[in-house]
Amino acid sequence: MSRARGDVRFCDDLVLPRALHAKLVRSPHAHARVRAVDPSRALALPGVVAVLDGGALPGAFGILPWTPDELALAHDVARFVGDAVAAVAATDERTAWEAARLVDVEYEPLPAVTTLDAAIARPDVGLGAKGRDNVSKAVDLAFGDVDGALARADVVERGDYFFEGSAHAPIETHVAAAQLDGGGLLTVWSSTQVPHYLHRELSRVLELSPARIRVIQPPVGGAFGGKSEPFGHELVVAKLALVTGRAVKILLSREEEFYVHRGRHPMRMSLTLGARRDGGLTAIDVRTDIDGGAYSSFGLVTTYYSGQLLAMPTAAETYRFSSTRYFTNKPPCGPKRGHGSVQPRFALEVALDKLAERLRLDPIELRRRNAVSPHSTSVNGMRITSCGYLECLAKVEEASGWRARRGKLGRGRGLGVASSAYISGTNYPIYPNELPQSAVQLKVDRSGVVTIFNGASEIGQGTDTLLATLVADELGLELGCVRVVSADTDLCPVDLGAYSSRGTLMNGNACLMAARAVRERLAEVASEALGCAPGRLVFARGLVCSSDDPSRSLPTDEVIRMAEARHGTLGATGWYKTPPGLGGAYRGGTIGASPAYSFTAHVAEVAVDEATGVVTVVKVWCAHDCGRALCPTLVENQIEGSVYMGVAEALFEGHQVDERGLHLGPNLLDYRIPTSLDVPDIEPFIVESHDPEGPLGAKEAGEGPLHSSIPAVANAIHDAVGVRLDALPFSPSRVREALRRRA
Amino acid sequence: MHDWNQGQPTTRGRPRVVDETLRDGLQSASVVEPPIDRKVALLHQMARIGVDCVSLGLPAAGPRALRDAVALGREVEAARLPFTCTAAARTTEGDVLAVVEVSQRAGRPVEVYAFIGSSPIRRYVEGWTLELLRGRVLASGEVARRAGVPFCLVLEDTTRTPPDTLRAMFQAAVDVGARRVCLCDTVGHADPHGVEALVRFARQALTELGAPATELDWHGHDDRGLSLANALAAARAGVDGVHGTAGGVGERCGNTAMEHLVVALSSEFDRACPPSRAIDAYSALARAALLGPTRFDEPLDRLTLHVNGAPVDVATRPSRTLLELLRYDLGLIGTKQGCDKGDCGACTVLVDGEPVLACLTLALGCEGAHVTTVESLNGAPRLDPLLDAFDRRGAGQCGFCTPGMLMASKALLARDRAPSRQAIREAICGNLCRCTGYGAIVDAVELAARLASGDDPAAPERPNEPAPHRPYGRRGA
Repeated sequence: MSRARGDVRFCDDLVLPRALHAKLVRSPHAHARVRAVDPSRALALPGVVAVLDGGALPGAFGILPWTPDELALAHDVARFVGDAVAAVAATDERTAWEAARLVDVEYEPLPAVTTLDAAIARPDVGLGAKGRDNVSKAVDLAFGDVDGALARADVVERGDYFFEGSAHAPIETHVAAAQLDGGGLLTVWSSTQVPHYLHRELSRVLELSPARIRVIQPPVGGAFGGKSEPFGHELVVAKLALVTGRAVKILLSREEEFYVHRGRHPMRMSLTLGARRDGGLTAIDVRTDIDGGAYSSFGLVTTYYSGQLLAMPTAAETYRFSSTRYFTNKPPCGPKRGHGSVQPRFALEVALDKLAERLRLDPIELRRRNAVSPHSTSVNGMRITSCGYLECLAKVEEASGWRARRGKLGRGRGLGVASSAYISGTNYPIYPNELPQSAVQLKVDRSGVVTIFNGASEIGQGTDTLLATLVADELGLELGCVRVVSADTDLCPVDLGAYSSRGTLMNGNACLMAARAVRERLAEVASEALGCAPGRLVFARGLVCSSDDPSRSLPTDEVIRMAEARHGTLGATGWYKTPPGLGGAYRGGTIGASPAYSFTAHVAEVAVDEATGVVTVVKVWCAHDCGRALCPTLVENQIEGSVYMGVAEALFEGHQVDERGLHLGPNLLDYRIPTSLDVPDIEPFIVESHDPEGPLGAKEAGEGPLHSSIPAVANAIHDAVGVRLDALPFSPSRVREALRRRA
Repeated sequence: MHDWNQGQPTTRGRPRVVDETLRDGLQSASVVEPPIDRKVALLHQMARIGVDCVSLGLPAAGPRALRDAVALGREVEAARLPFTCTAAARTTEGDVLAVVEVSQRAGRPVEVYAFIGSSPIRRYVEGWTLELLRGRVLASGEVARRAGVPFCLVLEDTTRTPPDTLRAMFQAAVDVGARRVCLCDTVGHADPHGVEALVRFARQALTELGAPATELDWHGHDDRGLSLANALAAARAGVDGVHGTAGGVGERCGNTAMEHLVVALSSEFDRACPPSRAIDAYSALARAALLGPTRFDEPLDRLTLHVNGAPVDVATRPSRTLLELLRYDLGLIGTKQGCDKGDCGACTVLVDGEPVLACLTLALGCEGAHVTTVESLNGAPRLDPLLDAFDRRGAGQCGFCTPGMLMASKALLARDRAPSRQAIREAICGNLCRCTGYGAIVDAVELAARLASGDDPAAPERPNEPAPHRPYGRRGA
């Protein structure tokens, strides 16, 4: 299952005989009425087989059943530069590009809003659902008497913060392919994180029974949330395959990738903390404006997440948030690693640092005094099970030499701390239903090989390896005897996809359930053959043996054959349903509810060059409570990758779109992601809290460790040079500006 | 008719005109590498518009660039075209030797135009000290001197370089006996007044260094659309040569348009104005050569090369990239496309042992080359230590950048068997990874170096080996 040998076959590596290549014609206007689409010049080009416009795919779609507002091809209004209005299919890729240029589209430009301020000031542009304003979603929730707590507080810390949006920038751009076979089965391959949702939306928009659609997700070359909803181009290739009767493939260019986007939302936050003199937090009050871009995407959830996930691990007695997501005529924002909660987390953790300074308290101590406890309920009604938060703080405090070194590193060098919590999957599925959220089937072969048919999406995070390890350990098989077939709607039972850090907990539990069922069958025959109680059997290294006398053993494949002879073909299914009744008893109280939460603490060390404003993150210590590390290497890889991505957002990245709706640098040179020379030394620490809900105690590790890396860097910059950076990214010009203001 | 140009200072002299179309022009992102016969046709037309000196290319860029430069040099010699010849080189010995080779094989002198950047930002980015710059100029100039070819030092970002650094660079040029110094490639903010000041400064500095006879060339990009005005200002300030390209095509924002330059110079200097029909023909030939045929009438060209050790003989189109050739024509899909514009490194393969970006390399440019792809690492009889190490260290998460990483690392280990961690970071800094944060990859390359030298830190326990061979149990049932 290693992907490090350079031989992974991704979606674009798929070779389909006589495949056509599709390209999309995209709007050059931020907001425009599409008056007419004339395909005649394109169709006249030799090699062009088909041109589609919006009339071909009239059904609206979207990841959330409440807000389907996207069209595969806009046929009335294009809402951002890059919105697709037509599609071409041609015999080769270059002809398809050329044909896309020859499709004549007549636009009538409309007034556009491309900033948060404009979206608020110009309700007449009418991007909202009812056309009366530009509001995508507004949420106001209060827990306890926040105003009273602030009035009584000894110290009130108020500040404004801005989080620039950022892109996922996976190295593999979006790819999809489709083919109709003679029996009427439409197969769609896509570099998606959510084959099941794609299956549903294909069926709805194409008006085709789901029984006639098969979705296959080949290995994905990086996603980070950017491939976690159905996309127009997936619907387009499917339609083109139906129309032309030929296989069709589409590969988005790097530039298109930046326009298709779904990256981290820009957020503007005003955050107020109230505290007693002893450091006890009495209130957190945050008002957030969210720049959503052109479409809803997960926006409803994003708006809730911007507040719901902020009530732990450092908690106040009262909590209130008010978040409004606005539509703008920009590439649509969506979920990026740490969906909706990375931005307010930055604001809160920097504010805590400021508060600690005013209270003359060590910022780690401040967090400790306000830490949530294991087996408790947060102020907004979220049930916490295991919680290794204090241990995470202690780890980074010790490893970084915090007490001896903080504030003593000399001018230009500093340490900063921050911490966070994150969900291990959402307790409630995206479309309400009573079905399992995750499932597997095990096929047990008499050769001694067990195959896991697994609906989950391997996107590089390692679910396939994780599941294989769980099964191998449970049945005592060598890892090489376990195969994984994943994310194929014809072969695998439904899993909802790789998002919201659900894989380990949900898929792991499903897999464990199936493996235990098989083990029971094997134990039954082995205990008879070995004359040993089933409970005294050990399954390990390809053998089943008696724990009383390990010399009494049978090879596992032999046991499998014995069990097959007795019971017939072996196999099992396993599934996972979330515990009922979690979350707060109020509208929106289910959003943010998770079977278990992970906890993280970061300490960052930075060096700041005051002459140039260049910040170098020298080292990051990150301790993450993942419940139990089923595959420690994978957990460490997730921690390292998260920290890398967080530091990149802190220092470099900004998905900037100008007033015309044009991206300022839609390529990997101008949109600068770190190279091997730009990354800090990262030291990951695994903290194990053994969660009762997780498979063998495990929780998530893929997203949590990103959150607090960013405020840890901000706080370290303050320790180094005494300035606060309340807006991202911490570019040299921003740092210089802050230093100038201080002087 | 009233002449509003009255009162303009009369200038004298005859600055020579250098045509950079076949070097700088080909660096434009929007042109194709023309076949040699088109280059030759353009070369002949250059003579008809009064060009004095022709750049033959950048011969160190690859086998095809070398071959074409030699062919062009031979054509100048055989047809007795009234040119002197130059060819570009980085200030490295290897690049200068490639120009020397062109000179020798063409049978005529070819002046080395060796370029280097010296601005503070460039030096900061590259980590170059003034001593290092001086050392590179001296070393490469010495190679030219020993080979008996003239040497010109091209200062790539002259307008961004402070005067004292420029003086030090001029000193190095004088010390190595450069015939010429060329200003200034990227022009940036400088306008005609700035250009005049720069040229005067350079002239005076060279005089103060006791080398008043060292000639000055002006090679200015079209920053802010001022290339022609800047070129004229440089000529008025007394440079000895001015560069241009057909239609102003060139790297970055482009260059000075030759068609305008030869006309503009003739009105002020002692140069004849070429007939407009000759200029038109020059433009048309350049357009045909550089824009290439449209896709539908692109001729197939035969290409022979070696891929992973095996000979390959294919017919391909001039616009085909090496990446397309590998992935679509040869089925070598291990090499990935991540950006198709040279930013991400996922398509890194080796051409004659050097890592190149296959998406930016034209297939026809690999004529005769040995191309190595990631598929070569997994070949029998033995697994490459890099694969083993990447696997053991888990140095890939999604695995999409991995083929490029492996090939960049392969090139590193071929030239440095025990690289430092910093050397590894530098070798893979053109390969973007979005998953790992690079730490595991650096570890893996370090481990691969150890494995390759027979030093296996952990005698491998391979937990994922399948069970020992036991066909359906003891009874063989």
